[in-house]
Amino acid sequence: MSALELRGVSHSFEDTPVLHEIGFSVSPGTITALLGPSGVGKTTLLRIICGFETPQRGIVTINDRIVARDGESLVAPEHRGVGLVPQEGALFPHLTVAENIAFGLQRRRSSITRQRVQQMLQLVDLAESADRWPHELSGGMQQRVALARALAPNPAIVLLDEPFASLDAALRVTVRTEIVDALRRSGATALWVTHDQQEALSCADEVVVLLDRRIAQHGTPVDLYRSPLTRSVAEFVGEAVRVRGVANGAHASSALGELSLTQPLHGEVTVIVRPEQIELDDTHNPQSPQGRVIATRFYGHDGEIDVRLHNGEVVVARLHARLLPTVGSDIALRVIGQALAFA
Amino acid sequence: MTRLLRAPVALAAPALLAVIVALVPLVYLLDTSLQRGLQSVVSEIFLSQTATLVARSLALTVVVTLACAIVGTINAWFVVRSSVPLRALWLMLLSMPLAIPSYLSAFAWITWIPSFNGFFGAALVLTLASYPYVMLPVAAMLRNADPQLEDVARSLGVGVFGALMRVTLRQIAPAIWAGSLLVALYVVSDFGAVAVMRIETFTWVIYGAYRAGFDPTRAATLSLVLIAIALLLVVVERRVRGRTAQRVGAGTARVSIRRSPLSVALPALLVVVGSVGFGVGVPVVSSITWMRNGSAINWSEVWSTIGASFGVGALTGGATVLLALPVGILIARFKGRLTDFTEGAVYVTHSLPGIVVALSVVYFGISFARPLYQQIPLLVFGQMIIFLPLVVGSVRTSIEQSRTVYEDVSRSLGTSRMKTIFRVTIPLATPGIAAGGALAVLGAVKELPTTLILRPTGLDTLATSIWKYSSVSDFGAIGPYAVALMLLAALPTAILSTVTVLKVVR
Amino acid sequence: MYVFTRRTNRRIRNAAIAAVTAMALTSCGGSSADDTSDTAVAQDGTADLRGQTITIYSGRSETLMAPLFTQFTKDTGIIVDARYGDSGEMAALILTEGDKSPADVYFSQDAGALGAVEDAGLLATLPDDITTLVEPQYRSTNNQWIATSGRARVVVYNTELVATPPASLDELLDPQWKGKIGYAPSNASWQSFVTALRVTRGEDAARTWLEGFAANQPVAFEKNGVVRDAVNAGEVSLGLINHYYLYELISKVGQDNVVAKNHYFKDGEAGSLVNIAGVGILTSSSKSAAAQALVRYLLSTAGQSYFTLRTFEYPMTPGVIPFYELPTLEELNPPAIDLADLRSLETTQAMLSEVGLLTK
Repeated sequence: MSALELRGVSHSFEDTPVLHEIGFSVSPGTITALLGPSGVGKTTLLRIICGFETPQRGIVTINDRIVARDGESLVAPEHRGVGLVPQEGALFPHLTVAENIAFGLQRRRSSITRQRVQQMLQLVDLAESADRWPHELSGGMQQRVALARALAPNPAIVLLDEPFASLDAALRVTVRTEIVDALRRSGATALWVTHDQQEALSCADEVVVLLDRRIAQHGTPVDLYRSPLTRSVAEFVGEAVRVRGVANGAHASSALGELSLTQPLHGEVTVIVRPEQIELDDTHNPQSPQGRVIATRFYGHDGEIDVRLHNGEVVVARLHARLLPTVGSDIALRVIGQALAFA
Repeated sequence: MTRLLRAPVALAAPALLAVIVALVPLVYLLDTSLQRGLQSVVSEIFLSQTATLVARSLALTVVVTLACAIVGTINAWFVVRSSVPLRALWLMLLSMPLAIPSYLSAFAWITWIPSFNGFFGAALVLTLASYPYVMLPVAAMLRNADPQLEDVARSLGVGVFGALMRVTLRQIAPAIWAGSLLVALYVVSDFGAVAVMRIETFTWVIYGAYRAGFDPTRAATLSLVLIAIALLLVVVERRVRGRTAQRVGAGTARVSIRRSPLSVALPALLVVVGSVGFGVGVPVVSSITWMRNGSAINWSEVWSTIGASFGVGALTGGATVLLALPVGILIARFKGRLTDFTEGAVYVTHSLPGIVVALSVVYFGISFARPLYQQIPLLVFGQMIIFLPLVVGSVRTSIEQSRTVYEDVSRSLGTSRMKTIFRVTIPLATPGIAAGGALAVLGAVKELPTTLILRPTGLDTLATSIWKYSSVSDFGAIGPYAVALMLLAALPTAILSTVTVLKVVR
Repeated sequence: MYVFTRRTNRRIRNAAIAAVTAMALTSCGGSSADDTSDTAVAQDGTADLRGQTITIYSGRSETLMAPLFTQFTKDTGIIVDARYGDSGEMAALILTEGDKSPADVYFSQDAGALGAVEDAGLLATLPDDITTLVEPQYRSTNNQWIATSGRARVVVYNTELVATPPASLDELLDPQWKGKIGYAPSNASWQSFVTALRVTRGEDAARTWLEGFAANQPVAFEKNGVVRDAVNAGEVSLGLINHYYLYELISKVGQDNVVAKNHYFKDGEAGSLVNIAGVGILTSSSKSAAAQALVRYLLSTAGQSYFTLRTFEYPMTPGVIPFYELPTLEELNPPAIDLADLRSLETTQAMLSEVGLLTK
């Protein structure tokens, strides 16, 4: 049984198609990331799953129950068992933290409810904040309360809509970790919408990539990163270094040298490697690709350099910070591991 | 994001009721004027004299609306954006004209400067009385407007004034339009001030048809012209305002306010002091002077009229809010043809003078609600017709400013649409509801013509007492009632101004 | 910071409900006493009317009429429920209510309004013993309304500034009075006078006179009382008002402080108009006996004396003499018009507006 299943979901807004033949499923107890650039229709998809929009075509199933089919909503949003954590948490300003969390529970004043609220507060590590007001909490704490609120009624699936978009970058990672921890501890099923590929790859069990209104690929983070099916997916899920190449079965020759391919191809191709696959080559091998450093970026723990190769193509290499060469120096490179190639 | 869902019955039914209530005067007018046949209606309306009067009414409306837009916006900017101390006090003082009926204001002016009558006298009095209708929504919007946009404009080389004009003004434009519509409708319907100032507007002629022509049929026919003007105003305002966009923006944190130093605010201070001095000072000082020069005050009579005004005011406020609430929610959340029509219908009769509304209630009340005739319920009903648009507008604005995401979350947590309205939408809109209720209470306390006709025989309110003594020029007797009315009305005014401008926006 | 919490909402809501309920309970007490229609009606008035309530729609002010109604109740035991408003608006109200009107008596400040209600067939014919109390020109031709008091048009003048006041309407147009005449353009009595002018002289002649009057740059004032005060103060030399305003002033400040005097044209022209306040009984009334008792009272010595003493108005019944300084009604020589013709007030307003005498 899958907690959520979409089949052939298509939707348009006023003659503009927004989603095309979307189909994937989410297994219970897993975190799935819905990854795609901004404006691609992710929010629409969330609203369809919640029940605020009805898909013009396709079937939406929650816990094996069909909730929407081909332009007809069969189950109202309040009965779907879909939890929602919106972009800014959206805690009810007129209720305390405890009241917010208890909102979706029946018999809000009973002791069972109080227990459940305590349980949820502990889950998100905010046990002492029960009687505080939303505006007294920091952004990250608000998000955690929002999650607790969504999880309290034990939904079939929790939807998180770009939950950290409004937080500082520094905070983002910490809060992200806390939320993921809470989700795992509760055993909840989650669908997490984001445009941040780092977020998707690090938090999710499975990633669904939404590009150009369609699902481009669905798989584990490793699959997506190492074996993207298309060039767009490859470029979207991680930084991609592109060079032209000529493929000859299992190898391709390019300005970066002879590269071993993950999939055999023939003819002119675009070869893609990840910046971390490019290293400095100090073996003085005249065969190694040579180039001149035209820019460097220092990130503290590591850095990147832009190198212009002899044929004019520019590649990006990610290196340990202490290995960064200066701008203008001539260096030799080598590629570790296999390269991706697309026709 | 607009919601094009079908409205739930629990909202649509009260909305239908509100439309019926609002259309009572229209039905009365059509029924009465058509008694002499359609031909007579047409010829009555298309007299050349009608055109002159309509032109004069429109001229007065345009002048006052323009003046209110300017004065109101300047005052709003002063209260929100300057670094003046005691901000809340200034806000309350500037809102006080709402506590003063226009007939009282006009009366104070004309006894002070008797030659101060005619078009410009009326225009001044009406402007001083109605600029808060623009000031309050503009101030509220200014408070929530993003000051960073101004900074960006400045960084692009635009001066302070230019930034105000090109950036801030655009941001607050919808509030200016909404307030201006209310002002325009009010000027069109006003009779108290124009009568005292002796300027012949269209309402004068309608009253003339009652008081001198003893011809309610002719008056009804002429009133149809006012309905047409109101329709025109509503349509124009909607076109210019555009659909109010959902507020985009931050979460529960408050938007920071950039304040201008007092030196920049000095020119605005002139307008502010003028507004308070002339709009509030003149009527208040006059009333107190009358009271001091008058004979002994009959305190028991004063107290009982205060009680009556308060009672009727509170009932009107409560009833109007109850009816306006579903309508406001409907219009704010379920946009579409039907709700457009509802909104228009509720506003259209706001241009009618009080006597027309009163007679329409008499017309139906005496046939269909005889036991209630000349009882409090029908008086409240008549006043509800007049003030419904104010409360609906206030509720609507408040709900539109609140983000739909709260309601989405509520539904995702298992709360049905109707329950969500009670648990989330209404609590979040409480400031707007309170403001609307205050507006209705204020209006009811000041209201005169409808009260005179629909009141239970023998019930005197502060307004009718003022009228009673002013008709025999007994200024001394007017004094205590005028002062009491302004004091009583000051409370809902204070609530209204504080809630509208100083509330936290979520 | 205003956070409208759920608890605050509940408190506000409870307080509001409590307040509204309290108000509703207290203010619903404003309803009129119970209606008892008189079932036993005897023409000779022997039916016991004590304790009955009649409803009056009065266009005359409360400050003036309330004491008289109280006196009436003390003398007859009939309770009066009086609704006060503008005469014309009360007439409009009665016309809108039609035969379902709760009013028993309509008391109007002027004849035009009475005429309009009469024309709509809403007034009952008065019994002979009432109608014979006044001269025919002071009641409707159908005997459906009757005058209770009269107001004479006068020229009040400042004795220190004016040796000989104008002797006729046309002399008012003389250039020597340019800028020196005060009037109240929105006052109903002035407009009734102009209506009488139209009736007596015809539309064209009336318009000519008005144009001449306007050319003499009369000074506009808010009300008649203000005109009188201006004349007494010397701001203007003449004032076109009603006769009783002078005596109001004298009784307030003493004769020594008043230099103004009334001048009566007594020429049978519109300037000598005696306008009336009057009363009618509605056909829809179920209390005609009690209503008639009120009308009789108004025309009795007690009632008529009230008007002469309180407001210095002219009594309508013989046997009650006007205030000693006033000329008698016959001496006034009012124009011989049907007072009901004063009904076309709206046309008068239109003409005044065209000539520029109505508003600025």
